Amino acid sequence: MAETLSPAFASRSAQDAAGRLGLIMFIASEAMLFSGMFALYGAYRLIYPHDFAAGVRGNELWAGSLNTGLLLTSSWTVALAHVALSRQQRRQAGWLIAATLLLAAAFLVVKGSEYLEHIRHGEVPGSVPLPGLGAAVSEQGRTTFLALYYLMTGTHALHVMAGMLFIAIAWWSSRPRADGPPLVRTGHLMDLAALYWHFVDAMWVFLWPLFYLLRGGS
Amino acid sequence: MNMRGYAPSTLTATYATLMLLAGLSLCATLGPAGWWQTPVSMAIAVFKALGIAGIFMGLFRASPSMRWAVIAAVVMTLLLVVAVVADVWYGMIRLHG
Repeated sequence: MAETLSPAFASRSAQDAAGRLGLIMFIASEAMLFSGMFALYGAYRLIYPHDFAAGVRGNELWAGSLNTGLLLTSSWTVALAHVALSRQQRRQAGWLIAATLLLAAAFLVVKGSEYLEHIRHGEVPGSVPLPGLGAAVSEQGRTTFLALYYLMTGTHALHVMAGMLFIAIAWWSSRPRADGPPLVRTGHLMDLAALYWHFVDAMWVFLWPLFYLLRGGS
Repeated sequence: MNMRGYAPSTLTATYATLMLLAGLSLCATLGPAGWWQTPVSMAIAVFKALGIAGIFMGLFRASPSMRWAVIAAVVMTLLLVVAVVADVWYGMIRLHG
């Protein structure tokens, strides 16, 4: 990432391409982590279809939908910031990156408020069936749903935080310095941070239907 | 154009399409319930993920090595999810007849 060209590479573009491929490999390993959880969700949804549907109906549709809009918009702003950086429009890129980080923070606030609401109502793994959801809701199915809900959305929220940190570090590192060239070349590290951010967004695209939209019993 | 070769207008059009698809998912949920909701919602999610990966991440224009890495990851992911779900499904069929 430093300004110097590694002796392993013949050119800057080859070094950048290797960096991008390395991040894609990392993202692939992250996708495998999420796929294990998606597999668990699919398996348990087959075993407890009605409990999972009741669990989804217990989640706030507006909160999940708002968070989807926030993340999709943040993906767009970070992509535009990347374009602005590649055109050396640093001020515009700065505003777009600030917007991205604000949207990500708003996502975390909405998610956090949802968690607080769940906890306030005793909706945690191992809790008794929720009042108002009916006697058909078994304790085991409900608890399994809640465990997966916290595991999958919590893991995703951690990735959102990591992505925010990555973007902030990429922006900070690429600032112009008075005593010489930037610590990191403008654009490349942001390119990698944006790639990671799009992956985080893509994972939410699947979490949204699983925990907010699929409200039917089958 | 960015490093991945897409102009801001393309990125904005992709964003508009993603939001439209999100709206479609919401409409499918708020409409009458049915067995079709799960495949429709997941199909829309796949299209959205394709838009994000293909345009925003630039994978439609990526190098062959990067494309192969992504294809391998997707195949592995699908294999894991489908195998686990199929195994549980088969077990339930055997248990309940």
